[in-house]
Amino acid sequence: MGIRDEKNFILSRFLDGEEISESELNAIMEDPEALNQWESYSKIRAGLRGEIPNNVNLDGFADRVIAAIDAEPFDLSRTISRATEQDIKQSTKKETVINKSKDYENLQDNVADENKVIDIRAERAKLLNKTVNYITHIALVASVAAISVLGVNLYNGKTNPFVEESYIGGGSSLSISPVKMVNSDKVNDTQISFNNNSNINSNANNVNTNTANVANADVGVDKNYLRVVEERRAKELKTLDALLNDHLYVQRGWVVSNSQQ
Amino acid sequence: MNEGNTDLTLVKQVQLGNKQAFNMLVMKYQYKVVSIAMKYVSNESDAQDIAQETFIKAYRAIGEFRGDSSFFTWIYRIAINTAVNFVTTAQRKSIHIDVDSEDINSYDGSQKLYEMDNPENLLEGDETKKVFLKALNSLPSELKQALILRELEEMSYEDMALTMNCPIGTVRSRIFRAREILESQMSKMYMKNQKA
Repeated sequence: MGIRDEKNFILSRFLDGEEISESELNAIMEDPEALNQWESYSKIRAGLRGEIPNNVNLDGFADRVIAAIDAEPFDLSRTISRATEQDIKQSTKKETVINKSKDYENLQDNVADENKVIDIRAERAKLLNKTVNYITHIALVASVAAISVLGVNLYNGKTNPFVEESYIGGGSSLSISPVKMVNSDKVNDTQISFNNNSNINSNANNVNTNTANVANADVGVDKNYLRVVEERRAKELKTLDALLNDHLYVQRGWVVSNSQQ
Repeated sequence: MNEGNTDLTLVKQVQLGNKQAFNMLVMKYQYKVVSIAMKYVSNESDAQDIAQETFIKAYRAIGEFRGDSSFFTWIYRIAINTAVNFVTTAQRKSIHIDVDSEDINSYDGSQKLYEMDNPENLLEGDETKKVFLKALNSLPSELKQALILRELEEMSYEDMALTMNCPIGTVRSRIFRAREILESQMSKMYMKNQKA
């Protein structure tokens, strides 16, 4: 097969959609005879497919089109979109690098590595965001838990209304030492009621688990404060804190000092 | 293997500034585009004007071609729009043409219609088709089969190899030889008609 036949063979394959090298394509585009052959093959295809209209002679038509384009110079770069331009730049850049570099495999690896770095950075950024979100969430939960525990400690251990240092409101305070709980297993639904003349029953056996009657208490406990306690307890019963604090409230409500007996 | 790959390769070359690549696209699709134009106008001259304008527009807008559709689909739309605009413009002009009744017979349009109805022109069109059919029938059977499967059935080389029960390389060479023979015969017939 001669050079001309070889070139025509490449044209025939290219017309059918087979890939050819850039150098082969350039050789065709620079050869007027090859371009004429391309036109002949295209005409054969059009004729066989019935695409040639009657009474039409298109000899020289393509030359007239190119001449008309040349007559009105137009800067193609104005119409190339950014994306297309980037694609062309990337492909041109790659081709330039390929032409310069002899080690094509290393070049491909470098390109692949660069892509990997980009992917790794993106993954790291995602992971960092997730970590920050997780830490923030943990910190919020921890702070809420800390506040709850602190609040409980402050309210129960340190601010006992029946001790001197925790007196709230008017009236004399009375120091009452904790006593042993009586019938503690029955303390479930305790109702604390305080009368103006509340009496503390010195006999622990007479303590009514359902109703806390403090007779002759002279405890000097502020009724408003106790109401606040009651309301708070009612609210806390609806929360998990109730399980922790409930027996402490009862303990406070039922505390009877041995000294009062 | 896809004919669209060829178009994409050429389009990319055009976008890089290679005008010869666009020349190849024009040569490939000139008949199709003129056929489209012929559906809107009645004479060859106007059809070629529409086709030429279509390709010029396509060249100027080639940078915007992203390959989302095939190149022919893209240029087909340009051709339709160009043809419609041409017809609309021509209709507007014809409204303003004040043709005297006595001059109707000498009106350019009627003359062109006369030319179109010339039997000689009709024969010439038929002759073109006859040339292709005659040339195709004169091919050896395996070459004729290869060309019919490729050009009419638009089969890929791989499918043709399976159909014809031969290697892909044989398919390529048969198609190439068929085209060479057809091209040679058509050139001879064209020269023969010219002399006549």
